[in-house]
Amino acid sequence: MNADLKGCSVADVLEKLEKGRIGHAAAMEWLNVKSYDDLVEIMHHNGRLMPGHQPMRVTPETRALVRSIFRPNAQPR
Amino acid sequence: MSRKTVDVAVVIPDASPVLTLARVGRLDLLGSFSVPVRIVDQVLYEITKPANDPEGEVAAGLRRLHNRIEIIETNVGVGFHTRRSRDPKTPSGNLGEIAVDEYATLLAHTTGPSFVPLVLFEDPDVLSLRIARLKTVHLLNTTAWLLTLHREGLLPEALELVEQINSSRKTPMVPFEKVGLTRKVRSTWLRRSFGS
Repeated sequence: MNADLKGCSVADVLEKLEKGRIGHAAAMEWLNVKSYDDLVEIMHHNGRLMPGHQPMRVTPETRALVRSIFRPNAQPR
Repeated sequence: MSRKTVDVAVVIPDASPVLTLARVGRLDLLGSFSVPVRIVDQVLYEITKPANDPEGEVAAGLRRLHNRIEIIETNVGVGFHTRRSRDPKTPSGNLGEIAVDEYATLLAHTTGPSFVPLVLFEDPDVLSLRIARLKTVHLLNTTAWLLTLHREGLLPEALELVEQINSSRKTPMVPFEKVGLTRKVRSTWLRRSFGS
């Protein structure tokens, strides 16, 4: 096991992974998960992003287009 | 800076966006567009057929939107209904895609460069249809649209809706967008048109 992770909580491990201080293999071993998908799932459920992943970028064109044709006052029926 | 006027219509070329919105109880969002929302007749058939809408709730929801949704009649759709009236077992197969192609061909011949079809879709097969290759087409899938609404502050609960949508899927729906192109490169004319 990665020596840096001794005494860490799950939250600490996820934070380290998000900030790129540990690799995903070390995190997977510590969390005892076998698949990368499960690791990503755990990260997302805890409000974390995988290192290097960015939230979707919405282009200014899309933002302008959607803003111009959407009326925000609609209520659920 | 000169500003161009553009006409926009939302085109829904596959059943999934409507069925997805219906599943999370927000079919009403389709009524929030200030531009026409167009669905070809054969896609409407796919949306409301018993396999997709066993209780008829989606059809009722669309009826409630009445004049907000424009159903586009196609030769494919009319032909299918004629054949189906003779034989109710007539399969619909991939007629939805063919009907959308027919409509896209009509758009290509009857609209100018100031017309922007905003294609709201989910099925990746749509990307191979003619409508996805129209010059000024702007493509968005359901999650990209909802995320944009959230980013713009137009629908604060949009992120929860995306979570709801993804919770009922095997794999999350990855947001997808493709901005309308002009002849050579991605341009800012569309953005300028809307004064951003």
